[in-house]
Amino acid sequence: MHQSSSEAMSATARDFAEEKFDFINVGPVERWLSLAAATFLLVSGARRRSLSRILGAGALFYRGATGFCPIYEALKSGAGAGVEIEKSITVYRPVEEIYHLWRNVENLPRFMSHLESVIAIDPKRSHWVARTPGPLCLEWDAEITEERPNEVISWRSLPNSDIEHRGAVYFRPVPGKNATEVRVSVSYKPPGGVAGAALAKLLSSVTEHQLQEDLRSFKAIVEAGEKPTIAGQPVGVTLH
Amino acid sequence: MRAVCWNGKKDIRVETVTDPRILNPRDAIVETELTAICGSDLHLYNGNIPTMESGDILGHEFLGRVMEVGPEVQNLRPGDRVAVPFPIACGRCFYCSREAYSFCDNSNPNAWMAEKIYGYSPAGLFGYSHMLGGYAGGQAEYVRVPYADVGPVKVPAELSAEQALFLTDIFPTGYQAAENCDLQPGDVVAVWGCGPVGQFAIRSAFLLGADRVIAIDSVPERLEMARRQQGTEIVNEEEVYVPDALRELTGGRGPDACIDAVGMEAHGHGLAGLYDATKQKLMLQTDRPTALRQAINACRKGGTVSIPGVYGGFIDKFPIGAAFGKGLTLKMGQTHVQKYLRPLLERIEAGHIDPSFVVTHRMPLEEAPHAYEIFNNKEDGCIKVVLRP
Repeated sequence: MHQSSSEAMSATARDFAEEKFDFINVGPVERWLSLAAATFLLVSGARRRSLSRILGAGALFYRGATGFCPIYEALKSGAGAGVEIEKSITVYRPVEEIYHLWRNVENLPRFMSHLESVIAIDPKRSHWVARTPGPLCLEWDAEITEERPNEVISWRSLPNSDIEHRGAVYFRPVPGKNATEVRVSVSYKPPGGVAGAALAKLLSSVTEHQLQEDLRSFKAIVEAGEKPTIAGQPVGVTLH
Repeated sequence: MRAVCWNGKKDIRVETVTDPRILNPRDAIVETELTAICGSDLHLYNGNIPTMESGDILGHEFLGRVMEVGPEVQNLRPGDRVAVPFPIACGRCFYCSREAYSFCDNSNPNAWMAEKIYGYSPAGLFGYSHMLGGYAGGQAEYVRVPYADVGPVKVPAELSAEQALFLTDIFPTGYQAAENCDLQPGDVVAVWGCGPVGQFAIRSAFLLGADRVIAIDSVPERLEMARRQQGTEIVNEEEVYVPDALRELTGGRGPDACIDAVGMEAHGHGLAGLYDATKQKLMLQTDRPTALRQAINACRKGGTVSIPGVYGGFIDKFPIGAAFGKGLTLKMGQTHVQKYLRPLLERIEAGHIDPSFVVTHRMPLEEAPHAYEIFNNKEDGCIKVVLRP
């Protein structure tokens, strides 16, 4: 009791002190390490023509030079505001088919990588299990709050869940192209503003990049019947 | 199996790797009968394409026998002899349904990488960097072929492997380049680069009705192949200023269409940060953007510049003023090979063309490192190498 209140106190003091430089969320030693790592990645990335290394180097340079880490920021805001993101994609199929696929919420884990399973309880309600590593577990019940066929489906977690989750998907047929624009928005917030370990993990995996990749998977599965992959193909292994 | 692996700039090794297996329902496994080194593989060899990784299996021109098919592949069965197009395409997306297979929306598992550089991602390719899918390539004993129900075309036993192999890339690539010129009776076409793609562009330009074709290069045996085997006029770029020579050869009006079959060695650096640092070094390595600038300069008013040569990043001093002032049409891009497979196979069967004329070197797969070296250095009269596993 005493310990937790002093922790809360020091957190308040720290928050207050950081107000002056509230964009800096990386310590000085870590900033130098970021710059050193960035230099290594840039040199090795240039030598190997590795885009991932070069992009990583860019991110680390930014982090070291500015003292601002977007990942820390996301985690920090995860503890407070949570995440709220929106992405869209065009799928070359009629809107009725796309709407139907989303309306069956049990389809979602096939392409939403942060979900382990969604099971329908009745026409409106469903049980959701997040994909969290190790023994961490996060699940909740959700209900559909609005559905207009071929236009929109929105849902939210039931009150008193371990998470405040909202989602909506909007559909728009593309004139003359037999295709559908799908716009998805999701938000995850910790109830009462405090994220436990499982929720913090989940929040760090729900990013704009990941949502875009998830929508790309949805499109590939619907259009091509499968998701492209190279996982498991042969590769040379020369010892240098 | 044995496979040709990229290990860095000018570091090609034949290595023992695991055999490929079916990973998706529309996959097939093909046993390679014959494969080839493409001029665009030299961009990888010279380290000019980003996102290559050590151990990547090279090669995108291959022909062979189907060994195994996934449950969704209904049109092929083990034993079928097939030529496999180098772009990997799902066959069902917006682009594929318009026969623009090399723009396929669904075949690149690393589409986000290409999007960072190009805005939107083209199709995945065999053996051509992780930005374009990271797919293991065809310079190997066995190859996994995605969307095998869409890409591969069956090759009749009467055709030799050398006659059919180039359906996978360079024949359709030269053909699309000529088709993009929208040729009219009496048209004169100038072709920069008399490597394999240039040779097929020349032949295709004649097939599509060009009256005259002028071939431009600096390598004597390549010019000689164009002149003797194809009946072109030739311009040696080392001896004359090409736009002046073309002006004289066309009665002062300029070619109706110009084809850049050179591409740009100094390419692939899509990331602005790397660009500045490497620009100077790359410009010392190669003079190749000259071909495109010359083509734009030499083309007649209202003409077409068609670019089958590969470009990857940025170029300097692009003569946009000349292109604008003369109202040129520029057409370019990777080849929609699947679109051309059957019509071009029919042309081969009908005897309109025997694509094996470009082959100068035949080697076992094990000699791939040597083959890359002589092809890159244009030694020993090397124009096209085929490799047999």
